[in-house]
Amino acid sequence: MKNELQKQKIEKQEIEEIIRDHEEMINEALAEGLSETEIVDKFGEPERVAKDIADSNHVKDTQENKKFSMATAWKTIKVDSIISSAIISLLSEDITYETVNEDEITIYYDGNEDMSLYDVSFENGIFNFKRRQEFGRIFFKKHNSDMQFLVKFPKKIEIHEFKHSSVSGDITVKGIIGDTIGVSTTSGDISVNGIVTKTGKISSVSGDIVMNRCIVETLSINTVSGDMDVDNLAINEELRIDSVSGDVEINNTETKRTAFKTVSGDMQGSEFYPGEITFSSVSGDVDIRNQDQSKIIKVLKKSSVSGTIQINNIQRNKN
Amino acid sequence: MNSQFKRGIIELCVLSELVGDDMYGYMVINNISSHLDVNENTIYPILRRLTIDGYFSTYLEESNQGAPRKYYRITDSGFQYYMELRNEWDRFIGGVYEILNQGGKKNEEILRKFEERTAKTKNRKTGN
Repeated sequence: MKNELQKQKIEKQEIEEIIRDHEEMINEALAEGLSETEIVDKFGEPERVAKDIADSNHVKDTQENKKFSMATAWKTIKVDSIISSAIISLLSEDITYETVNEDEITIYYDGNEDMSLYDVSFENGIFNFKRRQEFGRIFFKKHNSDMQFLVKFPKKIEIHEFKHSSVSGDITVKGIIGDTIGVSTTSGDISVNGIVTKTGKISSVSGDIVMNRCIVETLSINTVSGDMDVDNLAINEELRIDSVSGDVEINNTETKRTAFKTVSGDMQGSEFYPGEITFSSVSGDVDIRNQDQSKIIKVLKKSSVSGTIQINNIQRNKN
Repeated sequence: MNSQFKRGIIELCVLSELVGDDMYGYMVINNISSHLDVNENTIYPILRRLTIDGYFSTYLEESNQGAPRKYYRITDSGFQYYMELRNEWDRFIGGVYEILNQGGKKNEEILRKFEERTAKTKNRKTGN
């Protein structure tokens, strides 16, 4: 078997590990009282084993060597009035949204996925970009988890509603301006930068959320186990954060009202002026440290089993 | 069987075995091959590939068999991958059953429907 593995150009160190694993397994089989022919039956011919291992290695090699260049402009759509809705629904692709000084939407991609799986349309002001659902696909075809997209929107054109949803890809949103902006994913990480919106909704189950330099009226961020890192946000009305176990870090951010709900996640803030704050947790704590003592922070309501709230320039509500 | 399809199913089974408990290679192989007709040369490369991809971590533990055993432990990303794969499987198999159940759920029902249908076509042919 060693010879066979060498033929497959597997690295020496790997070969030794594979041989060791097989020695262990064959010893277990012998200890169970299996005969030599039964063992060959169970484990297969060494040549075949070596080939199977090499095959699964090659898949990885080609993936790792791949560098993303985003060289291919896939679709270009001319936009002359407004975009009333931009709805994007994907699976495991990484995607970046940007704005540019042009009057068209351009989609770039990189990766080996079958592009006929993606539908793009722009009708009556509605931009749709989605991946067709194919149940069971993962079991039939090689899984291309390394697809990447880049979508450029025209900077000057208004977007009323922007909505992205996907399962596991990472999402980056830069500079989008829209009435409502919603981004949701199950396990992907979300990074939001420089957006301007009335209503922002960002949610993830286990991915992390990073938000930076945004202007919003009301913002709600949801996560189950992902962490949140918020910096430099101007929130005119309200900030709502829901987390089960994810921690929250907020810096250089100001708003009128804040509601923070968590089970065990902690909130740490510096230069965070939450205005009136409602806080409920089981064991999560809130710790805010600010320089400016003139800005008033009111704790409207606090309900927590063992969590504490500490604000260094706090003004307590009577009772 | 389509090899990619088989691979996907074995991946799901290997992940599922290790969701419950840490196990050594031979144990995983034995557990799976007691239910399905697959042998080591299908399972080991998948176990190894999933480990390299970070879905399992490994550690050695002494055994009374002599040499220490290499145990596999599922990682957080492994668990997440398992949930994704399992979800996909449920939807896929659900789709298959929706198709199958159109023809009836139980064998008797399927047989009855088939007999009714063949009786009809026979009648048509003979012109009755």
